[in-house]
This record gives sequence, C-alpha cells and structure tokens, in this order.
Amino acid sequence: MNKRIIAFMMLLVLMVPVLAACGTETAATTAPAATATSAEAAATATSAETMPTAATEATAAATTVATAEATTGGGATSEIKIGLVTDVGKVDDGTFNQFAFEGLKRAETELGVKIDYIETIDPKDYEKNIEQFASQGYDLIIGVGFLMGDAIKAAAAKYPDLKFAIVDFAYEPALANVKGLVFSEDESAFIGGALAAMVSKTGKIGAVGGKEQVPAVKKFVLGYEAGAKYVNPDIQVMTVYIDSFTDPTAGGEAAKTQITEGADVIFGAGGQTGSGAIKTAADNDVFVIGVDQDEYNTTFKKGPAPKLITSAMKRVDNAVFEVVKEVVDGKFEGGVYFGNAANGGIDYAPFHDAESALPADAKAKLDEIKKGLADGTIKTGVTLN
Amino acid sequence: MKFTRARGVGLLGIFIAIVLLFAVNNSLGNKITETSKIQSIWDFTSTIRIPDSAKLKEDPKAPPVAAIELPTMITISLICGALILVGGTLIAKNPERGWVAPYMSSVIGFGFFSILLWAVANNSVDLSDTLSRVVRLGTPIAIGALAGIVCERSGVVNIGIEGMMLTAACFGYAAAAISARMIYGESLPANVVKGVVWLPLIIGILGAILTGGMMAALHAWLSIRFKVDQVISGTVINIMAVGITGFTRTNFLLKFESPLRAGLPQMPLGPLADIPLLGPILFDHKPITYLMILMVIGLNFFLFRTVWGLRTRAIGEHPKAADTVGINVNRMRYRNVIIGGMIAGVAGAWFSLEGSFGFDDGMTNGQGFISLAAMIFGKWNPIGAFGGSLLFSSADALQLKVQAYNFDLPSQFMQMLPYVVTLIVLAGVIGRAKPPAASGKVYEK
Repeated sequence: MNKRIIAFMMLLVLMVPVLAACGTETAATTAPAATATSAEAAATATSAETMPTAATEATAAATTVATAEATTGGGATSEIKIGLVTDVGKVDDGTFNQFAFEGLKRAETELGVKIDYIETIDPKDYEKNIEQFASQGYDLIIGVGFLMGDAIKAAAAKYPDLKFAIVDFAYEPALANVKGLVFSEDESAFIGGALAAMVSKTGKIGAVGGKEQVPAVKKFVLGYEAGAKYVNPDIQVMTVYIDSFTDPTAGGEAAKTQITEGADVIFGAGGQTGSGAIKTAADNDVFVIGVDQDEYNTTFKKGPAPKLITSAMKRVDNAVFEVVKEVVDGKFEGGVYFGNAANGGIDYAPFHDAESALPADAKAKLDEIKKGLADGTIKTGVTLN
Repeated sequence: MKFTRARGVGLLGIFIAIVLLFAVNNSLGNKITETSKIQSIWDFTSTIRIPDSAKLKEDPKAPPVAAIELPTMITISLICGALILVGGTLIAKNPERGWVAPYMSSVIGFGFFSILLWAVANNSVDLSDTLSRVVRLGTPIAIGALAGIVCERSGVVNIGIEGMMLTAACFGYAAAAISARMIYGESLPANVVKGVVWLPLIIGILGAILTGGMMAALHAWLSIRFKVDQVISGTVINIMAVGITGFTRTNFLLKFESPLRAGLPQMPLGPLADIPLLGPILFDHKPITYLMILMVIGLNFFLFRTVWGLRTRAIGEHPKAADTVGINVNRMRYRNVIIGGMIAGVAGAWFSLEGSFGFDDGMTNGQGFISLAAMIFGKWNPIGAFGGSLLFSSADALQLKVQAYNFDLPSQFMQMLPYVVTLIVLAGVIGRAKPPAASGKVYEK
C-alpha cells in the first residue's frame, strides 16, 4: 500500500517538468502581448476618456471575446493594429521570424501602424496565439510559416471581418480575408546558381536539399541549377535531397560526397540540414551559398566566413511591409502576394568576407541577372508538376 | 515441397536480383540516346577510384592509386546471376542451417554494390570516401546498440535510447558552450587553430555522458523500483526528451552566445591514415569514432571474459539462479542500465559535437531506434551489433552517394533503403532473434 502511494507521488514528480514547461510556455506566450497592450493602452489613455474600454483593455491580457468585441465596436479609432504570430522561435532569431518582424517594424515607422507580436514556443499554440489577437480585433494578423496554414485558415473562418496574412503559404482556393505571402524561390536561387557557376573552377557544383516533396526546397534546387546553367551551360550540378530538415550531419556528409566527386561550390537549401551542409563544406575549404536569410548572420554567426559567397534570400520583410501597406491603403484583398525579383520579394545576400575571392564584376553581373529576371528577359524555366 | 525459411530467403534473393537486373537494363537503355559514343548497354563502364590519401592532402588533384574500370552491365549481370544461382540452390536443397544469413547478407551487400555501379555508369566514384562514410555514419548506431546490449543483457528493455541520445546531445552541447564561455569569455584566444579548443569539448562529452546516465537512472528507477512496464518507461523517456530539449533549445541555446565555433576535429593517425583505402576507412576519423571501435572491442571482452559480464548475462537470463548464488540482481540492474545510458550519452555527444556542431530539435532522427534493430541483428552481441550498424549506415551512405550522380531511382526510394534493409534483416537474415530470457521482466524475490 505504502509503495503505491510512493509510486503515485513519483508519478506526480515526473509530471512536474511537463507541467512546468506548460506553465512557462503560456506565461511566455502571453507576456509580450500583455505588456504591449498595456503600453498601448497607457499611451491612448490620456486622450481616451471617451473610450471607457481602453482601461479594460489595459488589464485584460487574456480578454474574453465579448469584451474584445466591445473594444473594437467602441474603439472608433483610426489606428490600425497589426499582430504578428511567429513560428516556433523568437523575433530576433535570425530566421524568417526576424525578417517578418523587421518588415513590421518598418511599417510601424513608415506607415504609423500599431504593431504587436507573440512568439510561439510550441506548435500546438498557434491557434491560441492567433486567437489572442483575433479576439482583440486586430486589423491584420500575420502568421509566420507554412506550418501555421491550418491555424490561420480556422481563424479566418471564425473571424471573417478580420484580415489575415501568412508567410510561405497560399490557399487553394483563395480565402477572401487571407493573403498568402509566397516567393519565387527559383528566381532567388537562380542568382545564387549564377554566382556558383562564376566561381567554380572544376565545372561541378553541388546542392543539398531538404525534403524533396516540399515545393520550396525543390524550387530552390532547380532554380540554382538553372542559374548555374545560364552562366555555364556545361556545368554539372550534383543534387542530394535528404528526408529531414533537422539532420545537419547527413547534410554535411552529403556535401562531403559532392566535394570528393569534384564539386567546389555547395548550396544548402533545407533548414538545419542545409546549414549543416554549408558549414561542413566551408570547413572543407569550398565556397558555399546559403538560403532563405543571409546565413552570414545565422549559420555563421556574423563570421568570419570567408567561404560564404552569398545567400538566396526571400525578403519576407518586404512582403510583410507590402501587405501592411495594402491594409493601410484600404486595398487589401484575399489571395496571394508573390514575391519575386520584380517587386523586391527575393534578393541575394551581400558577399561579406568572401568579397575579395570573387571576380570583380560579380556584383554587376548578378545585378544584371536580377534585372533580367525582374523584367522577364530571363526566365528560370522552373516548373513543378 | 515445404515452405521453409531457407526457401523463402532464396525466393526473396532471386526476386531482388531479377528486379535489379531489369531496372539496370531499362535505365541504362534510356541513357544510350544521350551520348553518341555508347552504342549499347554493354558499352557502359563504371570506374572505381582508390585515391592516394598521402598525396591528396597537398594536392587535391593527385591521381588515384588505382582506377578500376568495370564494365557496368557485365559486372551487374554476373552478380545477379550468381545470386539467382545460389537462391535456386537454396530453394532446391533446403539446407537446414548456416546458409540463410550469409546468403541474405550477400544479397544486400552485392545489391548495394550493384546500385553503386549502376549509378556511376559512365562516371567514376571514390571508393574510400564511400566506405569511410559507412564507418562515420555507423558510429552513433553502433554506440546506441552497445547501450542497448548492456541494458538488455542484464534484463531491462531499453527503448529509450533515442531519448537518451537526444537529451545527451542537447546538454552535451550546452555543457561545451557554457564551459567555453566561462573559460574564454566572449571570444577564443587568437592562437587557437581552426577554432578547436579541447577542454570545453571534453567537458561537453562528459556532460553528455552524465545526461545519458541521468536519463537512464530515471528509466532504471521507474522500471526496477516501481516495476513500471519497461517499454512504457522507455517511451516516457523518449517523449520527455523531445520536450526537454525543445524547451532548452528555444529558451536557452538559441540565445546563448558561445565563443565555440567548431566541434571535435579530424584526427588522422599519423602514417596509418596514408595507407590507400584502409587509411581513410579505419585511421582517419574524429575521436568518438575511434572510441566506438574501442568500445565494441571492450564491451565484447567485458561481457564474455569478466566476472561482471558473467553476472550481467546471468541476471539477464535467469535472475533467480543468480540471486541464489548471491548476486544482488536489482543493484546490478541499476548499475548496468545507468552504464548503458552513459554509453548512449556518448552517442548523443557524437550528434552535437562530432557529426555536426550545434544542437537542433530532433537531430537524432530515429537513429536510436535503428540502433535497437542493429542490436537485434547482432543477436545482443557487440561484434554482431557493430556489423548490423555498418549494414544500416551503408544504406545511408549509399543513398547520399548515388543521389549526387543524378541517379534514375527517385530520392525517396533511396531514403527508404535503410528501413527496407531493417525489415529484410529483421525478417530473414538473423533467423530467430532470441533475446536474453529475462529481458523485460521485473525481478521479484
């Protein structure tokens, strides 16, 4: 009997870390929103005698739907409020979360909107975090990341009057109040591939991708190949896909196989797997190209990185800014924002420490290619079936 | 004619050989139109390079020691023909024992070799690079399998190896990062070569071992003291590991600025590493890989040549008998499960300090479970488990290698290969897998 009680106690003890994790989780997720709303309320409080709800808003971090609707109803303010829900991570983690937040900050200073963010700690909190903004009647709620697709869709159906945007996801068919922010990965990688072909001496280059069935990965890899062939039609591109985004070891090994078979530029496109590939390749004295963001700041921790020649970037910040601008201008429509070379949605990263190793006219040539992609004289020719 | 294991294996081998032959025939046939030189599928050659490891360091373009040019189609046909012949013999003669495992191993081994030749038709491949990768990728699997052996030989099933590895990878990296920060501050001293500083890395490995041991202690405590079903308790470990490491990473590791920039370095063993082919495979690795080889030999010795080993095996086979001669079964089990966890911790350190540097969510990618398969493949024997690990890692190494040749087989098929091999191996090669008799059973006096 005694033993059983002890066993039960032990089980409870075992549960503690789990519960503790949950506790901090919710606390951490609500905290920024709470402080932000109270700050905001404090700012408007002086001029808000006519709006009694402002005071309630200040205390209501986890406000109920009812009061929130009262807030929006009563708040005839012209102020536009934008809420950003990150994917798992932080707004300063150097991934697309940070990019999205930077776009939002730019919108704050240039367009004068009120901004706010929630950092998601666990994927199962997506809906909860979106709900926090939605229930307070935010004008535009931006979700970061493909993985939030279902959560945003559900919230958009629940709050048909609010506007939503989501990075890296496009709905089929389009939803009336959601804008999907997607990018032309192939154009971005095309520029990287062109640079790879310019610096390759062996005439062989490699690409290490994440899961092949993810369209963005395949478009990156194919775009890279197309870009390299545009500069040097005879170049040989070796491609390896790895069925995981979190396997830096396999990424590194894939890069090594390509290097032993003669590749002298490696492009990594697949989350941590790709980062592992370019880290290993750079250690083996081979030029590398990053993906999504400027990997100089993320994978290589701001250098020194003499082997990282550029990164094929998706300008999530520009896309976020554009969609906020549409809301401010009253031109928001559900559908798709397609970031490409023409509208600044994609770009290549600066050369940083590798500048001296590159041909002097590299930048001019890349800008020319970017211009060609923008005005349509160059086509990547990448289509996914 | 009765259907037996030998006949089944023979049939499977013949089937695999025929499918392979047809696939190669087809794919090479499609390639003929691309090049003008090659008139028929018999003209393809696959070149196998054995590079000159000694000269390669100074000059990356050093010519290989040997470049063996094999006629692709003829070689593959001969291999498949032989496999079909032996398979047929197996079906006809139905041998009692001793044939099944070697035959299945050669089906897998020669099958891999044929796929490699097929992929490099009209091209060449670096053999020592491929084989050294087999050893590298086999390291965490082999160490995990050793961890499993120590636990199961003493009668405790441990399916929590994956979780122990993951936690160890996380906290091992954290220990290295933090200690480096404490010792060196914001940045490393200028005289450090390539960013390798031993002290924090060793602290990291020790941290990983300690973490693995602690996770295992929890497992032991639950399953020995509280008699929780050992499978459940292992599952708890696996689930908990995902939570703990994910939480630590997002809230701590992502923000932490450490001066460390590189993990464990390559350690070629002097002139031995310069031996062609053998050098890169055996004597040019990073520390944990050498440690793995020592551990395999060491555990084999301890398990079968020492008192500890005899007692361990005794409490795994017949704890009551062991108890009657005065062995404290549960204390011994505690100790062995914790030792097993510490071994799993070494595998964890491999992920975050040797294989790649840094910790990512779920970076063990199921290797802990594969290592259990390797353990079963090796019949709970260290040397056998090591062989099993190499089998799985060779599937992995092969798929990484051949993909780079714009190979006809879709990448998904190649990625499936390690798991298909797992299935084939568990179903056919090893015959009946017989675990230690008391494995998974609670001991009560």
